[in-house]
Amino acid sequence: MGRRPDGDADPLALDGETVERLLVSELPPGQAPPEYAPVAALLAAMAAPPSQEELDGQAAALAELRTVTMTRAAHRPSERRRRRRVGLAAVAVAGALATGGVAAAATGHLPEPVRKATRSILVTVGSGEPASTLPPSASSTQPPGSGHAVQPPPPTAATVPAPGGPGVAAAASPGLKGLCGAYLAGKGAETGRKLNATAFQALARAAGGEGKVQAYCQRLQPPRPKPGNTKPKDPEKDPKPSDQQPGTHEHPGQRQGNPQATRSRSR
Amino acid sequence: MLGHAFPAVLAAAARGDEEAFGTLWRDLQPRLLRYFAVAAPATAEDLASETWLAVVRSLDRFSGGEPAFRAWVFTIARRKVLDWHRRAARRATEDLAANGPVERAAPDDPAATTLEGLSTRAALAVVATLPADQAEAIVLRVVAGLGVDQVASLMGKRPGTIRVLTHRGLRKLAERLGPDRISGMV
Repeated sequence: MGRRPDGDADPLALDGETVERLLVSELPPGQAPPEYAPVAALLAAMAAPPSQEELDGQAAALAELRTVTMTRAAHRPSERRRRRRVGLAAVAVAGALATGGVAAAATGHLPEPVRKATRSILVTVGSGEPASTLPPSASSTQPPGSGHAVQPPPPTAATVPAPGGPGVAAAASPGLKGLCGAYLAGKGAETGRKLNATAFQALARAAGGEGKVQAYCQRLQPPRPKPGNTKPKDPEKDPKPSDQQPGTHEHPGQRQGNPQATRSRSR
Repeated sequence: MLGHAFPAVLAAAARGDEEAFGTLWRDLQPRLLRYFAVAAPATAEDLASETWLAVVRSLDRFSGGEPAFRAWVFTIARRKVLDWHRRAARRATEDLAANGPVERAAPDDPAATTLEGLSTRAALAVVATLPADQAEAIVLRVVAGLGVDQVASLMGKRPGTIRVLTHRGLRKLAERLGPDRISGMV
């Protein structure tokens, strides 16, 4: 494409816009560059309206739909209702877990609406396993700050992991847990400096702020013999409840009433 | 393209509504068949059936607008093509070598060699003679109506690469179809 050495223009040269217009059927043969008139005709033929032959298999396709729908309805009568929610709920949960996961990390609970949606997705993804196989209300029976021993993979829409709690640990990737481990191991001195700046910033993002990393990481760790440290009572580190993500479910036993906590460590 | 009607049609089809599903099917089936005619000739109808089976099974889990739906269906279709090639690579090669798309073009059929009478089938047969990536990119743009980014995502390439592929493909077609070269179309 372009000019040939002998100076003649390449007759088949095409600019990008003309290519594009040909491809979206905006250039009928009469309007295309002359050398491309046949091509324009060919493309038009490719995009011609459907033929009767091409539409022949509709009955068979509908029969297949019928089979799948009836099978689905027969096996799981309530499944269809739950499945309907998967599309929307899965997206909502994935989004909520990303933010609500932080709230969960701090409170030990998932926000109520997220918990419900998650439960319905777990039933769906479990391919019809009865709801009784789910851990009984995974979030609410867990004492705050006890963390989770199970470390399921991070959730994606419609593939939220089953038993083990869709809560705290599920919201954090294995990478974040590793960072938390390093962070907590190095704390005492200049905590933030034990990790390199990038890693610490990743933790801060997940926790919702540099001042919240401590509490966030504690939530992620398996139970530790640190009775007094199930935070956040420390007014310096305790973020104001209103700092939490919207929709956070405040657990009365958790916060020791620090609604106006001021943080001396500037964020 | 269903336009504004799409969300309602999709929702109904996902619930098992046959009329709604039929609407989706009529919009996409011809495109699928034409795509397969280039990507996996001689087994287009089977692959289309397999594609719809997968679509029906996952339909109630899909959420998105019409362009995304189309891209999703063609993602499934492309996977079927790759599976088919893997399963029958040798047979496919032999088929193409022995019969090729020429069989579909019916070269001595006057309708296939005059531009006005160029049939869809003949057009697809010519495109199928292009290098595979060029042919696929052109079909996905022209027949499936996907955008550059969608085709790029589907084929696992960069958008710039897709533009180059279609550009080169059209140029090759021009070389083969020039007004004084019709007899050499096959």
